[in-house]
Amino acid sequence: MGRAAQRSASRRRIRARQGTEETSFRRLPPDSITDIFLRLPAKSILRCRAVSKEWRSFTTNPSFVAAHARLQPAQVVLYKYLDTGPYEVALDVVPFSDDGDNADAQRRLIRYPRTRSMLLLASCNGVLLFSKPDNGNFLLCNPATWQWAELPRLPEALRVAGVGEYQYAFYFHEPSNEFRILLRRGHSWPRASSWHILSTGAAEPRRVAAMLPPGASITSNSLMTALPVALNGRLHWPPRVVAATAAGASTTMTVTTEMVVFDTVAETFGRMAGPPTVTAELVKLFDIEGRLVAADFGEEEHVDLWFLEDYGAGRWERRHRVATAWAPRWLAGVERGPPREAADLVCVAAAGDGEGNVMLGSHIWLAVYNLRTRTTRTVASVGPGRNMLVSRHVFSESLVRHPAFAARSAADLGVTFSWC
Amino acid sequence: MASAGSGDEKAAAAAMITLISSDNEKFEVTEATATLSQTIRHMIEDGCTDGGVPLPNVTSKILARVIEYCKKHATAAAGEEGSSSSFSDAAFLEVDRAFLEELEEFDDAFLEVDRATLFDLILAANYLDIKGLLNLTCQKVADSVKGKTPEQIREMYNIVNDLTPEEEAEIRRETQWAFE
Repeated sequence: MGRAAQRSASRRRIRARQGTEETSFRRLPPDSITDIFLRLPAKSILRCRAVSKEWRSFTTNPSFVAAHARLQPAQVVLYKYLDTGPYEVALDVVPFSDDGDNADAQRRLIRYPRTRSMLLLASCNGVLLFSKPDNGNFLLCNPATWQWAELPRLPEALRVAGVGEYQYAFYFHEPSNEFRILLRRGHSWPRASSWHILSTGAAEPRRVAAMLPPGASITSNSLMTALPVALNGRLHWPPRVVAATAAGASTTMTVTTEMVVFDTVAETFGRMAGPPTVTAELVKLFDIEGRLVAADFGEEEHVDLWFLEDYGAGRWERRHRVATAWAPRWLAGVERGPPREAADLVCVAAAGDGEGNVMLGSHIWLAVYNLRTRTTRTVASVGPGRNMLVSRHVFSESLVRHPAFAARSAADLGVTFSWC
Repeated sequence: MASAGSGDEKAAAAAMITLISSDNEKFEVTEATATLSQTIRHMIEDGCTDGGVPLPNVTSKILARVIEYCKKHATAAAGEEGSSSSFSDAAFLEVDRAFLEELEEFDDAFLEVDRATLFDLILAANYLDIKGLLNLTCQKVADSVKGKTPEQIREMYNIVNDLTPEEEAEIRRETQWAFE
């Protein structure tokens, strides 16, 4: 038997074992195979890569990986305080489907010492932004690909003692495929300083000419407060009340709020109307399938969800009112109702699992509200006595390997941490 | 518009469509049921369904199941149209909820099939372009892969591991968290 005949015989044998099987994936059209893989979480995708060459090439294809990242739900990041070894904190996320009887569902992103090691500043496109308090450097970390990167360092003149002194936004700049921080020294400085952009694609910070619109301001920049939400290439800061007038009876108020926005492509600031709510400062912004939504945490018994129905006209509608189960009196007997001031507020809202679920969190309380069935379910694994705090950050997993992340190792960056 | 013919007799008949499986079995279904398939909807719009719609890629066994799915979901679609406009109304909301629950139960029972049949259903849903059925069946396959080890996946779907030991070790090392 010639070599060619041998090869074809062995091919036939392989076909006999694989191709003719009724349950072979090769029977399915490529679109359906993609559809199936897109429904899997990142962890399963990584396991699929170890199944066969064919599965590996399917699940490492860059356009598949990008599409997969876009479909991942936004999950609320939780701080889990660990008693083990050196006092450590871990960042965990809870999937929307967690109904309390599945402890495995919780995913640990990273674990690190509690003091003077790293500070979580923001999260965007599957990447966590940390600051290192010892040298003020900004580090990027993708806990799904286990990769690190560093942003350009600030010159001495721009550095401040604590990150709380910065006003900043962390975003992904689509046109250049770069992660960026827009930042300036905060309002505790005598004169408003100029804005700078730190980008994964540049060696040095770049000063931008953009100025806030006259009279506009950004919510105070403590580590507790909300960060802007990126949507359609623009950053949207949470709304602030600009005018409130009593109309008729003194209890009814006509409220005007506005949000500062930053166009990440044109690099200019602008303003747009926010939802007409008196407690605008306690509003968290998030997006549901490309629509901006504001969750108002300022009321005692419920969280209102305002939908930006018409982006151009700035028209908001209150579509849902979610009853809350605030976990009160958890802090050494301190009465703890809904937060009354923005600085008091570690609340968070996230959506995007495609099933109409919205996560709403505050302090040690986390609930999943469904927009279709209008029902609320408290996440059982978060609650008093679990050494767990709800953060203001949302995270969605991404297996995309950005070029900026290829060069640096964690050891290189002087980070003390472990992955699980 | 939907009917290529004319006259009362033909108009009445046009509400029913005949689907013909690959093994030549004929299935009479209502237009509402048949048009859950975008492929058949286009055929109806083009007026080429007289004498039945031959579906050479679908066996009678699978077509029967597909029709079962379409019948149930055509009713559900009709129900949804009637109630969704008053979504804030609590009474209607209850109806919606009961409907959704019933449909979910149906879908769960519908998916109690062996893997070969599941793959046949995906192929049929793909060919007939029935979005809901495609979503349902692809999700079922995805769920079967979720949480499984590479070894379990290979065994389940008869896949030969043609990665070299070095390649496999590299994949596992690179993102070890996924394999723990």
